[in-house]
Amino acid sequence: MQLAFQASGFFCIAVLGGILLMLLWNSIAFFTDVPLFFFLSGTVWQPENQQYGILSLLVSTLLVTIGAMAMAIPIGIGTALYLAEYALPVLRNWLKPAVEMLAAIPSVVIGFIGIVVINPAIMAIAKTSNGLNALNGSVLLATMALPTIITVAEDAIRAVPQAFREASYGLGASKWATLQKIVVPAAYPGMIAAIMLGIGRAIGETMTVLMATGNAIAFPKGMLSSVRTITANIAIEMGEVPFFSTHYYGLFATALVLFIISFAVNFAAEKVTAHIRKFQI
Amino acid sequence: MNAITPFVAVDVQSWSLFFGTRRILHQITLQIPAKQVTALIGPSGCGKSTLLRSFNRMHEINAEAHYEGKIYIEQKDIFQWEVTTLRRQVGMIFQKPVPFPKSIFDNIAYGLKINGCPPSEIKGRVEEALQKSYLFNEVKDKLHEPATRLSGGQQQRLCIARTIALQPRIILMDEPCSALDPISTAKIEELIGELAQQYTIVLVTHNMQQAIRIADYTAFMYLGELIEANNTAELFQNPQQELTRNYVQGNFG
Repeated sequence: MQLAFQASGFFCIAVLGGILLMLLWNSIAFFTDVPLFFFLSGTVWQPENQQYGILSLLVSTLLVTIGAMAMAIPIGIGTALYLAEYALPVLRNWLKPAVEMLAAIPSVVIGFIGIVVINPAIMAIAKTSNGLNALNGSVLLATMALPTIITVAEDAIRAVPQAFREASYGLGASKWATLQKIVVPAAYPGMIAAIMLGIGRAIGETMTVLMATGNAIAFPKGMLSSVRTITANIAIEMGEVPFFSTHYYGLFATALVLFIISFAVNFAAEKVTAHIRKFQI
Repeated sequence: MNAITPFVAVDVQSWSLFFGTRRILHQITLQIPAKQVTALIGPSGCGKSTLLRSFNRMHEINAEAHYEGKIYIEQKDIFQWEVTTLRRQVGMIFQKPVPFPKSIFDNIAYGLKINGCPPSEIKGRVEEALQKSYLFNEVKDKLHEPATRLSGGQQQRLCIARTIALQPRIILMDEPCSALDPISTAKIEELIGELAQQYTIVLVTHNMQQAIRIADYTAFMYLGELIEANNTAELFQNPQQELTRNYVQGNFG
């Protein structure tokens, strides 16, 4: 039995390692054709003209993700605090499953909502001719990241021992001071994990952004520009690219960049939580 | 109380407490003298912790709790006090030491900051509190290390330091040694003796020997009622009630 568990563990690690090796292998093949410098500093991605600059795609990805987090983090953490600390049990028992249900909506449906609801809304409010842009993608990704952020953050806040709260009240602290200075700091590791999971969800999401951001490969001028993210670009081009061409390898190289970003985000989160955990039991 | 009663710090008048429809405390009347150690003893579930937590209105966290009767702290009805002021004046030490996930220094500074202590005074008052709880020499080189790295006994003394930093009038202790080893317990008991010169201490304990060792007065509770209160020696050697006698002789509990 132990052997079976061990085997499945090694199998998972082997699969992950295999994916990483494949990414690296194909990327190296790409970099023998196109110098790393041109790849990272070029803003033009036109494989048909041998232009392989990732910068527009990369900035688009970051723009949409940061935009999404700017909306999802305050709303998500605020909702989690409300649910954990203020909502009456009856209300919480309804609200939390409702929030979790949000996570069950397929991303293609969210993208559809982006086209038929958010798109005209942005056109009306910002008075633009096209509502399929970075802002639209951010709103949708925020919606998709919210259930994760709320659920994980709420669990973290509720996991703070009641004894901390009582000890704080016992020192004459108000509920607000206790929440701000004791409960939230004690829940930081969990809340950071919640945010990181949210970012992971947003940065890797493909279908929604493919449908809602307009798919224009150009260096974005702002939230109202149509953009194409790295994920959407891979999804669009991978189906048509000749195998083992420079373009094919190039798509792997963009995927590697995505992987490095995700890895860096997770690594940073790990460092921060490790530092905070030092002060906890 | 038969003995000469000095100034009364806590005056409990026909106090009853209910959780929902369940009655936990029944018509308790008790005077707790100032600057003495008063022990509340009795078997588990007799309501001694519940009574203690009434004094600083800790039951308000629980929406189910409601009350009848009065409690006066320093002659003022507890519900006339601003709850945060009351809890600053009536400090509380819990069964398990609860250091906050902060540094040793910040554990004490926190209470001072939220109660509006000027920043320039904080360092001095933190050190003073650590001195008074006999912790300073043990931690003076690691004030900015996590409080969770201290031993259980040190953590409990830190919690006491955190409370006395606020200069309370009364300190409530809810079985403060029950999670500690005998050596740490001895240190805390010694500290309680010292603190009693300056503060009124109410100590809940399930340990009768501890009450005999450190309490000036002892109140015996049973099933939510106050059975008998007297000075400690009198209560243990010459109990007036049959129930008290059986309990202090170890026949039940």
